[in-house]
Amino acid sequence: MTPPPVADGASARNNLRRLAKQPDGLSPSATGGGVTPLLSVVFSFTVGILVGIFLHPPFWISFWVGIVSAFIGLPFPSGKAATSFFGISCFCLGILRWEGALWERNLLENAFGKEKEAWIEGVVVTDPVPSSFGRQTFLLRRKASRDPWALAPLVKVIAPADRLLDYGETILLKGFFSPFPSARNPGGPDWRAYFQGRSLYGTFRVRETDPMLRIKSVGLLSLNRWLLLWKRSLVRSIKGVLPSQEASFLSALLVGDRAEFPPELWELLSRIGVVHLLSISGFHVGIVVLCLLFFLRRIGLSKRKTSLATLLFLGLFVALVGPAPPILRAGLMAALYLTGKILWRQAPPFHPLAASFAVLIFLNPFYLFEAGFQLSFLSVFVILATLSFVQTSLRPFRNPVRFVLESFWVSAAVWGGIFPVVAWHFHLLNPIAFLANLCAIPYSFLLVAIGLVWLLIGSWNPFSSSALLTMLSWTASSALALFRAIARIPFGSFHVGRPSPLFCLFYYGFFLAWLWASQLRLTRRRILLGALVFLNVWAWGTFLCPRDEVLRATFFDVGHGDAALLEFPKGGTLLIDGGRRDDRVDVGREVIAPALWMRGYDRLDAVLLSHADADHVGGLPTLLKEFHPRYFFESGLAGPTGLYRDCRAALTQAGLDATVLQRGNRLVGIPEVTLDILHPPNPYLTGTGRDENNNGLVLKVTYWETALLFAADLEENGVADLLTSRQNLSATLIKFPHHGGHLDNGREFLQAVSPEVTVISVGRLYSLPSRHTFNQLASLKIPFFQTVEEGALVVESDGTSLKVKRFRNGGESVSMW
Amino acid sequence: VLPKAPNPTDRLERVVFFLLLVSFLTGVGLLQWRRQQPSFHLEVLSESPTLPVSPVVFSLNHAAEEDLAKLPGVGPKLAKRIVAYRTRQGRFQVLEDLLNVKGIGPALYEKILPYVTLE
Repeated sequence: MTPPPVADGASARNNLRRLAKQPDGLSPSATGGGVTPLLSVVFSFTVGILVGIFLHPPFWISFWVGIVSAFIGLPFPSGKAATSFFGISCFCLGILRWEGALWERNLLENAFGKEKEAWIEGVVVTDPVPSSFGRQTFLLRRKASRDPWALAPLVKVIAPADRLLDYGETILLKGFFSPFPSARNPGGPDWRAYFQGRSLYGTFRVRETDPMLRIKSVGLLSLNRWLLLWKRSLVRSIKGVLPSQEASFLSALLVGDRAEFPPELWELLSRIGVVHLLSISGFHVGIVVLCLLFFLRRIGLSKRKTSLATLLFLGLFVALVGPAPPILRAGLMAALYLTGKILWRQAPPFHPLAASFAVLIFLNPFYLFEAGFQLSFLSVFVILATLSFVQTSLRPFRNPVRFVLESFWVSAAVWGGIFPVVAWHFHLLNPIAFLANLCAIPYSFLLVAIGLVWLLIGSWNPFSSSALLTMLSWTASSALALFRAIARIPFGSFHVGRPSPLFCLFYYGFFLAWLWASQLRLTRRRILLGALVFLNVWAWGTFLCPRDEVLRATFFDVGHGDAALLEFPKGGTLLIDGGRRDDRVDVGREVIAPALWMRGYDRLDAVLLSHADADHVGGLPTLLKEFHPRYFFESGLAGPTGLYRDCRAALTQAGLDATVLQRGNRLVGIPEVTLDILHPPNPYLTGTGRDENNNGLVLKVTYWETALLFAADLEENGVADLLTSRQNLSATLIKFPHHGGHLDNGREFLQAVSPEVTVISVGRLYSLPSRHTFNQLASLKIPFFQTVEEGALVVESDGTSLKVKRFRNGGESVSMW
Repeated sequence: VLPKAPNPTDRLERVVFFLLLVSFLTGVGLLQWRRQQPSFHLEVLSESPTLPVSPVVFSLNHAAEEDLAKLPGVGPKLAKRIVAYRTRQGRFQVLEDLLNVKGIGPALYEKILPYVTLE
């Protein structure tokens, strides 16, 4: 983006104009002093929200302090006193807003908390998308009323598609409501928080037998409907002409249509850090605005008229691509900027940013936690803050060279500004992103510009439409080819663990100091020196500090299935089973890989497969490919499943041999930990009904006085064989056999193991766990945790006692002995 | 314009900057090195000898192209060439015929030998 123009010599008639003289428009003194009321208001409001989040000050104190300081501030006409009193009341307002947001959320959670059957009446607000399995999905805006539903008007509806609904229809339906799940695994997505940012609270599933009545059909003259039909026809003509990948790329880029986006392309683009192009955002709005401004100025409109016309078109554009938060955010920012241009001619660059930031977090403070929100504001901020600096230091260069260098440095600065946030949310460090963006942004500028011409002029006429589409197709193909080439550059991107909050704090502290070096009366080199001292302390501290020596077992919540990760006290990992994979979900990719990345692992040391059933082997093919383990152990009773075959193929491809383990084997080599294999016997048990289950690998992990027993999917025959094998079965923790399935000899087994705590890895399928198991556990007074209830379970042993942390319920720890 | 007189603080700053940079890069390099080190070497102690697992074996004459691409060191391109050779020659008579496929040398041949058969 080019910089917004900056005033040069205007006399300081009002505060805004005075601010415009400063090249960066924001200085530390501006936030507290009386120069820029808007910025200080936004600043104190934001600090108030942050204080509310982290410190929870009492409600009444902030309420009265806010009111009193506002009243004291009133008599002062202007100046420092007024600003500081209003600052205090804005600060209190921030605290109160956060309290209010929490109150709203509690209200909604009480109303929506449980799964239930309900009636709902509302308007279809998105185009119903037909899916496979004969269903249609759409969003429904609930009719306003007095109950808490009115606060969260949107729900997602999945209904049978025998009658496709129309956008804008009012319907009454009965269905089964379930709220969105919150994060269930470390590193996993928190869908509840994500959709909360979109005012969406859950899913309604309508069954074939449920009634669905049309109350009112669509008005023919609705503007939204007209826009939607236009968008549909645009997407259809893109997809009809272009090859599939280019078509998906273009329709995402131009009209924000991401239905059926190819996942491998998505992964490629996110790896090189250009995936933000696909969600219509500030970038697009910026391009559209710039193109229009340029075009309208060229045809000779005055500045004000140009701004006005652009503002009008902006509204139309936002309506066309749909009111998702990133679009609203960018639209708001651009609209404020343009309004500023209309009213004052010279709008200072930071003001629209600050104003839209304040409006959005006032509307929904939960945005502050959202990755997209953080990234877009941070990158615009960095662009605005570095541009003037970059421009002054590049003054000696002539134009083509200067332009290239400028883009280079701004792109590098943006990457430097956002990489901790990217690492935090996506566990990805991609230095290649700054190069990729350097190429991608001119390309998408070109694509959006051609696309805009096509949208406005070309699409009405078949001849010009096909000519423009051919141009678009060529540009898109060459862009995609370039992205693929960039993705092949070695060391371009790798996975890293989540950075610590302390690191982020220091990093951004130095970053801001570097930006505002002159105001702080420091040279930039000295600030860099300080940053380097900090980085040295961080790197050498991490390297030299002894790690906390615990044996940690994480039982992932994989729905129905098993997957547990062991992290050994002196380092090293062992993954026991990999969850399931079906056409909807690959647990390996969606649950286990992000958790491993978040903890900073890009390799596994060993993988153990208890038996080859689909709910244990499913995630492994992906994980073997991504994490290249050095050892692979299994029970040797090959399953006939296709997934097991995939898993073996992945092993073959990695050049890794499987080692078969049997009763009596002991794995040594891990400091202070021994791994004993208690099952299966040699020869295998046969004729038990389900031989794979009864010959599962049972592993006992001993760390000083604590022991964990992973009992695979054993059933009665397997357990009976284990009981008669005269091995030492006693353990501090047991992963209950077969997801808590019915065991006649369960009582004897539990007595032999005498665990202090039991973990049941289960997803409530096939009527597991059985009621019988609960009775046995209750009668022996053994506490138990189920992954379906608690989310992932993290068990830590310091050698003498166990601590269980429940991920879903606040992660508080339950101390065992 | 007179040349600037060398400022002693300025020089000191430069030297310290350089030293800190080197030490930081060393630290990060060491961290990365430690991450790459294997954390342990496992050994199986046993009363009964462990059974070797037969690897998944692909038939040169019948396997599909995407299966052949899963062989160690063989990507989609080479798999295509193997299939092309098979269609051209009718079938692989002996395993050594693989050496006639362009791109398969003796080293790669040794590597994929345990995973292929003729049937």
